[in-house]
Amino acid sequence: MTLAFTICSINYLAQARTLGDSLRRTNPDYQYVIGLVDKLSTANLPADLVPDYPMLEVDKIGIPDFQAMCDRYDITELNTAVKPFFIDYFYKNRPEATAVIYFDPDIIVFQPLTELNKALETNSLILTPHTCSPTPDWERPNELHHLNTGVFNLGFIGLRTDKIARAFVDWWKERLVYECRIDLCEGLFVDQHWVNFAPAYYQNVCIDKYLGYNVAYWNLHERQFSQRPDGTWLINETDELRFFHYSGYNPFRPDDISKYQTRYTFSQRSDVKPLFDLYCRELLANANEQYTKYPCVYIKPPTIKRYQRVRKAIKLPINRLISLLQHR
Amino acid sequence: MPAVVIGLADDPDQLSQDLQSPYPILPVGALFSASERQHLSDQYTPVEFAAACKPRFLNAVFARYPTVETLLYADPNVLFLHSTQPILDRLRNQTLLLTPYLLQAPGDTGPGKKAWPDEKHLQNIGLYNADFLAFTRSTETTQLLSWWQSRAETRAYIDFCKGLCTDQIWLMHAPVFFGGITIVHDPSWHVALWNLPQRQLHQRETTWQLADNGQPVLFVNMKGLFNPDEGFFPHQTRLNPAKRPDVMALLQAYRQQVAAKELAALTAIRPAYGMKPLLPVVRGWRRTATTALTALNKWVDTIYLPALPR
Repeated sequence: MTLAFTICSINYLAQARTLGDSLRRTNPDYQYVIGLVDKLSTANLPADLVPDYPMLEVDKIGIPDFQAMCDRYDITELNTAVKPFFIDYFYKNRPEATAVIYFDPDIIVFQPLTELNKALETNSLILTPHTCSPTPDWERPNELHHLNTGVFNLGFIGLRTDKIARAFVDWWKERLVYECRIDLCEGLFVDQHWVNFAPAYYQNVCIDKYLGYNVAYWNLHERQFSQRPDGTWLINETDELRFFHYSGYNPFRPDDISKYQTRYTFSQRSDVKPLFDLYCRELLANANEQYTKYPCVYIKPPTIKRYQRVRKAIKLPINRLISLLQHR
Repeated sequence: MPAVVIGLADDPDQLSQDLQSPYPILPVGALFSASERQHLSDQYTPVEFAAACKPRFLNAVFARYPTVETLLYADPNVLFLHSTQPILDRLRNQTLLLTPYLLQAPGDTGPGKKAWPDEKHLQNIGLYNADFLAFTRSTETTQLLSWWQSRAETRAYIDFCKGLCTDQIWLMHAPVFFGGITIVHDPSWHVALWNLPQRQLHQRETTWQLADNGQPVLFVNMKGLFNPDEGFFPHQTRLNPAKRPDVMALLQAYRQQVAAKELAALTAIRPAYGMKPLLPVVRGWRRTATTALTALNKWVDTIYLPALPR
């Protein structure tokens, strides 16, 4: 049995349901679980908003000292830090699962993942690169962003239930207890940058470059879209679209491909527009507007740093002294 | 015997007239126009300059030796201890062989464990070491080198916040952008300062072996051992060579070999290219003081300052 799961807070349940619906259509043999970084008891969702998929709350999976992690991390960091802890929970509590696949909630699966299932029979880990070829310009995102934040996108990871994958998950968990922060100068970018180590540390890691996987704004430059008469989406007229990742897309701003990219507008990429229109419709039909009103119980008010000028003035002589010492 | 070429990222006029190199020297001046070279020299430190030139050197060697099918690049700190045949065997039908700095987690970093370099520092410099590379001639290799050259020449700065670190960090993209990239997981390759804490050596007559399985060591990289100020880990805390007789013996043998090549006359020559100054490595009380002051700066950034009454 393959267990597919996602992680989100209640405000993203429209996305998680849309993903679940797509898996039900395309991969009905998968068991799908929503990992919830939120509390159902606090939200008290009305019956029509309770998803038709099993939900597993993050405080139920036995993360050691979870409260301290909540205190340390902001909502993005927390939502990503718990990923390997969920995988570990499934390894320990769902022994019938021969493979575990993580999808970000903002993904739609379009096709049966037959080749992926096959690849998971022999590979311990399956990773998908942000882009399989050089980026064409220095618009956002470009190769430098991927160097700073990780060459693989961790909106997807496939793991076989084996010794190597377990060892990787144990190592990943340990890293994320304290270092799932965003601090590019220190080499840190949530859970994702760490996964660069996977092919260096482990031998049985598949870097899957099939162009139909994890299609998103970061790889549009190498992927052109068309449709067969039967409706199947094709990429570069060869690879079938298997799953699309709508990262940074907001259905209330349907004219923006993603808030994180500057390379394309829909007028330049009309080929991809119908895929976003489809997502917009599905999200709205899945009560996106209602869900977004639920604040996450783990969210902290953002820390506002006051007196930046005062801080700068204090640091000026310290920096002079450092420079003096460094230049001998 | 393999043909050896020395790529010189410096001005050959600096060499003494009576220096006889047993290997042909390819000077960087042969690769760039004077103005291009000057432009690179002005924007980089000597370390960055040499890194920026590396892909062009590799392209030039492939072009000058048209019958050559395989090309190994080795940093001058590398010492081959064994036949290169196992490397050539692994290279068959491959584009590029990469050697990671570490083949396993060091396990001594994180809260309460302060060994350095930690894994996040490796993320900043790139996980695959650019001091050793093995290529075969192919269309894929041509594309890889052309891409790498375009990136390294314009962006070889060491600037972690921008995701930059010499030619090396760009190699992180190689396994995802190009086909036929092998990541070599063999501990008998590229033994060095950063992985010696995980690898014990054993000398057997003229050969060196990995102590735990007797496998012959193919090559070592003496960067940071021969000159502790060189490389990315001048403040590494894992390896104390004085407590490792195997490392001391290897280092001793290496020093003797290098001394036999009249090192003293050459080390006095300052690099002609790479005009941006290199920050000297500080140690002792200066290091302690700069570390403490940097921590103080961070504290100033994060400390809560109460709102002042208006």
